[in-house]
Amino acid sequence: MKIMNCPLNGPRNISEFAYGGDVRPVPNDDADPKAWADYLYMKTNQPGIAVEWWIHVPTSYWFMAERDLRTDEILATYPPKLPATGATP
Amino acid sequence: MASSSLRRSFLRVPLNKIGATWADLASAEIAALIPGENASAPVVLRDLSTMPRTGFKGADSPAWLEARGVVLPPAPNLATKQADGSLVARLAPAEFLILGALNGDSAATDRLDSAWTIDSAGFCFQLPRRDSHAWLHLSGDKVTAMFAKICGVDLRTKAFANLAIAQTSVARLSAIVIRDDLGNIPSYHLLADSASAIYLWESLEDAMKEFSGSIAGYSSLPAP
Amino acid sequence: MSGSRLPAPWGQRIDRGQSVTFSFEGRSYAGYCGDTIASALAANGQWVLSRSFKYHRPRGMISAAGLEANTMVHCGDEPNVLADRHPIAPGLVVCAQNTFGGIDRDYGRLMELFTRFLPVGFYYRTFFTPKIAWRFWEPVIRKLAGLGAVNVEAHHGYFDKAYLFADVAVIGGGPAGMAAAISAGRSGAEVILIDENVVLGGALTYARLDVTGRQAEEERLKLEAEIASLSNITVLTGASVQGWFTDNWLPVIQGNRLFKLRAKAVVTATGAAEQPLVFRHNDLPGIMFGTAAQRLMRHYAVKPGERAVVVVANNDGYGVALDLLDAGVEVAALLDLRASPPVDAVAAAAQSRGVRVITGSAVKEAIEGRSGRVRAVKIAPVLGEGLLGASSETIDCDLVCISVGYIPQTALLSHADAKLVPDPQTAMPRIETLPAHLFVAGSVAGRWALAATLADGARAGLVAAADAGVEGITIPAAIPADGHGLTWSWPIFPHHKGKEFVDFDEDLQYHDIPDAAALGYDHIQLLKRFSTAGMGPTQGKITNTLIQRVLARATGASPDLVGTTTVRPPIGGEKIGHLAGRSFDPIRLTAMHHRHLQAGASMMPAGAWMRPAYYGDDQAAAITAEVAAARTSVGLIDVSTLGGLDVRGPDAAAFLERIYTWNYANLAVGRVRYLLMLNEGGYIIDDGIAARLHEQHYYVTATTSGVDQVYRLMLWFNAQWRMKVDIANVTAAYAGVNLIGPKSRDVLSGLCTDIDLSSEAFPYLGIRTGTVAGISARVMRVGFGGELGYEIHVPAGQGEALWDALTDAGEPMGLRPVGIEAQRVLRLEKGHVIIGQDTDSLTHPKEAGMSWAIGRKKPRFVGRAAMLAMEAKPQTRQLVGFELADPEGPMPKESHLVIDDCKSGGKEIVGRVTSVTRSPTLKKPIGLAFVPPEKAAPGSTFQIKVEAGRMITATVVPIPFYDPENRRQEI
Repeated sequence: MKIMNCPLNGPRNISEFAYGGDVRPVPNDDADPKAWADYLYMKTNQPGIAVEWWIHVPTSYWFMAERDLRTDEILATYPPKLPATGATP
Repeated sequence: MASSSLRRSFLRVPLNKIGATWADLASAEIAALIPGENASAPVVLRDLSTMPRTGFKGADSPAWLEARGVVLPPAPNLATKQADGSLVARLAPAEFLILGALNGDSAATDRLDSAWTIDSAGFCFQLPRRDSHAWLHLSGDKVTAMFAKICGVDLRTKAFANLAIAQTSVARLSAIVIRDDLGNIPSYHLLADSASAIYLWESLEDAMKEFSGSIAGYSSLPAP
Repeated sequence: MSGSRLPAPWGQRIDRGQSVTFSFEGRSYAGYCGDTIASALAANGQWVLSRSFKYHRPRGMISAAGLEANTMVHCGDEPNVLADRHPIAPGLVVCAQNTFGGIDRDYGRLMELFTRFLPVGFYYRTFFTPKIAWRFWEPVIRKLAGLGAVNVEAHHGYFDKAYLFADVAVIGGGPAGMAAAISAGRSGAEVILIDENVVLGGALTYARLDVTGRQAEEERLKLEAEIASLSNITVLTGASVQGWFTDNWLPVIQGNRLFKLRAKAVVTATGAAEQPLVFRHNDLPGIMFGTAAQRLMRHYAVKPGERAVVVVANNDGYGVALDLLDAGVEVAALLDLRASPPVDAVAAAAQSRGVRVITGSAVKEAIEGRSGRVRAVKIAPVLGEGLLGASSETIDCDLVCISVGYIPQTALLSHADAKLVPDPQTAMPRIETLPAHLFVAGSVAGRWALAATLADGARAGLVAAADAGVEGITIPAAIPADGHGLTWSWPIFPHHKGKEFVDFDEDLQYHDIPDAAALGYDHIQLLKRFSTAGMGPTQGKITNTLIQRVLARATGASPDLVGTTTVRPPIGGEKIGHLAGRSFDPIRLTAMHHRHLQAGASMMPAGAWMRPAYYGDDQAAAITAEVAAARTSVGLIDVSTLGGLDVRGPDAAAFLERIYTWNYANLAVGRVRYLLMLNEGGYIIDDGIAARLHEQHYYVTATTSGVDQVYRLMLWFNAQWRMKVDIANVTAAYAGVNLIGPKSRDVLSGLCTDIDLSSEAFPYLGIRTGTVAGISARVMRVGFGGELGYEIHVPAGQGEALWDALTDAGEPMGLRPVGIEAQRVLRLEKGHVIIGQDTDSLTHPKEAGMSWAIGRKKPRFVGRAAMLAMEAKPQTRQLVGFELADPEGPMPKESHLVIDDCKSGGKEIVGRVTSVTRSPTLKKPIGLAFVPPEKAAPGSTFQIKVEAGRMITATVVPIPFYDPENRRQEI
């Protein structure tokens, strides 16, 4: 089982965490429906470094993780950085 | 006592099954004596669920607590013993759990609870920790061996210092584990979802069986 | 046949003072405490342990170390027990597997006569055409080609799991592993040393390293004493590491416990097995590895035979010959595959003791004796790779010891994605790369001589300790590899008559591999699936390299290009109990749980919670009575499982406006409003109520199963929005009841004196705080049943006391506890939608008839953009209320289909029923269903297909069904 380093609680078994999806810029509320459709349903699914939301379940603590999708290596974790940019589709 | 509106333990039924004698403590019932209890067993399990405790969180909570003379732990996941015997556990930079003194004195938590109002405390919010979580106490030389059967975090005394906190999963329940030795006896507070208290209790009973664990009453806690 | 025990000091592991009686195939045998099943049987002359998978040939030990399925037996309730690893115990009942008529006279052996009709891949080739054939053949084949049988009556054992933690985990307790543990331990690291055997030492417990035969044990004792002196080394013996998982996570099985070991650094010192020699009848009992004979002698004092032929391709085999001589076994000949072997001290000693050494020769064929055991071998000169000359001589023997090379046990390294390449220099794999924090030592790493092994182990221990964070360690220079000349690169001598086995578990002969390749299955992965090579119980541990080599030759590729099949965990067999034992499934109980049980409730799960379904034995009567109580007098419902969230802070109102669809900023303090939550896709995911307790404090409820997701989403959104709001999940902190019915005010007024309960002071959709029965409470005038009612939330620790007080106060007024089943009726009579039952994951508010809960003027809320986009499209369905004309007619069930009888020949599915009940109050069947928009107007009719394909007609009616003006709940 992988270890993930929680910015609040330190290294823990990954079973203590849940994945929360890619960090991506959220369209404006009045954005074109196409922009929303892209945001909601178009995932790039490309190899590379992904910036993702993760939550430490016992503390309900959300943070961000950078993960190499080719090797599944977790490169870094840190408290949420804003504005959320992440990988653009 | 069935008609009393006193706070009842989430573990009243399993404790009644083993013949617990109840006493009143801090406006609540507590299992004071258990027939055949062995307070020096390698694992001793006690239910402190009805004992006083409270919590505060929000960006202004460190300042609000410090203004009331609370000594704060320097970093998250550390606890600090207060002069009045209560224990302040820092769960996040701005989140605190306060366990009342083990003698059942509710003065420390009462003082904070009665001082707090939503209008006066700024961005600091009270949490109903006495009801959201069950509070179990585990002590003895084999407690860490027992924990290794239900918790994936290394809680052994050499890896987990006194007054350290682990917020993790215990028997698949989200839980707060705080090491707070009684003298030189390794001792841990275990707080978890009050609605799952009986499940957790049964899991602990099962896990401590191989270590000749004993369920003991509150009265057998050594004097602080 | 040999049936005698050797004198001490042979037999380190047995206690001759403790005799143990057990049975095999119905016959009683005596062994000693410490014996394995196989060693005790061998000591009694019983060498045949099983019948082979396909041809039912007699089989016995090859490795005496659990590396082949030959030794699998049925033991008590347990199938597929390795007899050469499992200890005997008093009264143990052992049976052979896969036999017809017993181990000695197996009629299944007749299969062998049909060998040429059983070609490789014969299942696929023979039994799947025509398709019907498989139905006939499957049971026949399953019976013929089985392993052990599962006893479904077997008693349950207690299996559990535990975590282990170490700085350095050393896997394998041979000399390299022991040396690694010692050096890591001396450096101060916390070490766990794991070995599958009952004592540490690995090859030191059985191998002969020198002429005297004493060096190995002396060295072992020294290492053992040193380990015992280091308190920071934990030794786990009789424990098997089943795999390597990411970040050094190792499942370790010891007895009935599965350990989950996390180590900062791992040293793999798993050593090597011997490789088989492939020749005709190489599977006969009595043909075994040299190390197997040594294990039998040194560990169990079993004399492995009377007259032996030793076949070697390295000088370790000469040590085997010396051991056999010491044990009183006649060594008829030592065949050395090498034409001119180097002579070291051990080889010289063997020769000087009169062993007849025949160089450049090998066994061409073994001859089966009456008991199934080998009786003689035909020998022949080695002419070239895989090529033997004419048989020159037949030598009588009952034991053939094979020492022709080694297979490093690299499975764990493969799990870890280490890169291993075949090394033509040594005919063994070389490790090219290892992942971080994983290290190797000893023979698995190509260090073979004892001194090299110990030095390599000691070095690996230091490297691992430093890697684990121990400071101040100086790493010595690397130890050169010395595996050259140990392993014969082509130990395979095909015979024109076959029966030269390259996979014992699966009964594969040499020619099966080129045959499969010729059929087109010439990739190692295809070959494996088609021929089943390496798919037996031991997963080809000692035979995969043979398959790789034969395929390489058949396809003209080099072994490194042929590659290997993927090696996956587990390394050894594991029991279902290890995986399933002592699982943890939290159950949540409300504060009133035991009161429900006392009241005769049938409990049902709701998510992780247990909730009362109804009270009493007669379900239908109970539900009717509970509904009647709520409608005519008073009922008491435990609503503690409802989610509760305290949302507080200066931005609390703005936050709710943004999370939920409706308006909350204009909600007055002391008032309650319905909540509807969408996801970003515009679909309904939860509902509840918001009660405003203070300008900056809303008490928010969520559904029982939805609250964890709602809480998590709120935190996630606010991690982005950074609004000045605090969200606390207080679900477990509050117990709640819904006191429902015309007499609810009467009940409550006796217990609550600090809240004015009059309709004027405390109207419908109000919230007040006060005390009920002396317990501080949040009291709300809400409910889903459409009657006067109060929802009372109190601290969980006082929930049972509240229940008791209300039950006592309500008794004179006929108060009844009301379960979930009755609640579902009550809410359906009022037409309330249950999120997740009447909606699915693709329901937007308009479809569900919930447009009224949308704040259309709000500039934004979660899901708004997507919801508007969907509303702009033509609507495809509408949730409506319906009733059935015939109160006694057939009833639809939830998810029964709505059919359009004018389309597709009356078969078009256009909707479905989401809720339905026979309303006890209205005395007719009512329900909710999705129907096409054109059928959604009140008065329209639609068809529902019910059980047995019957069609019934439903009529759309407005909701609520009951008390449409909502007068009763507002009095």
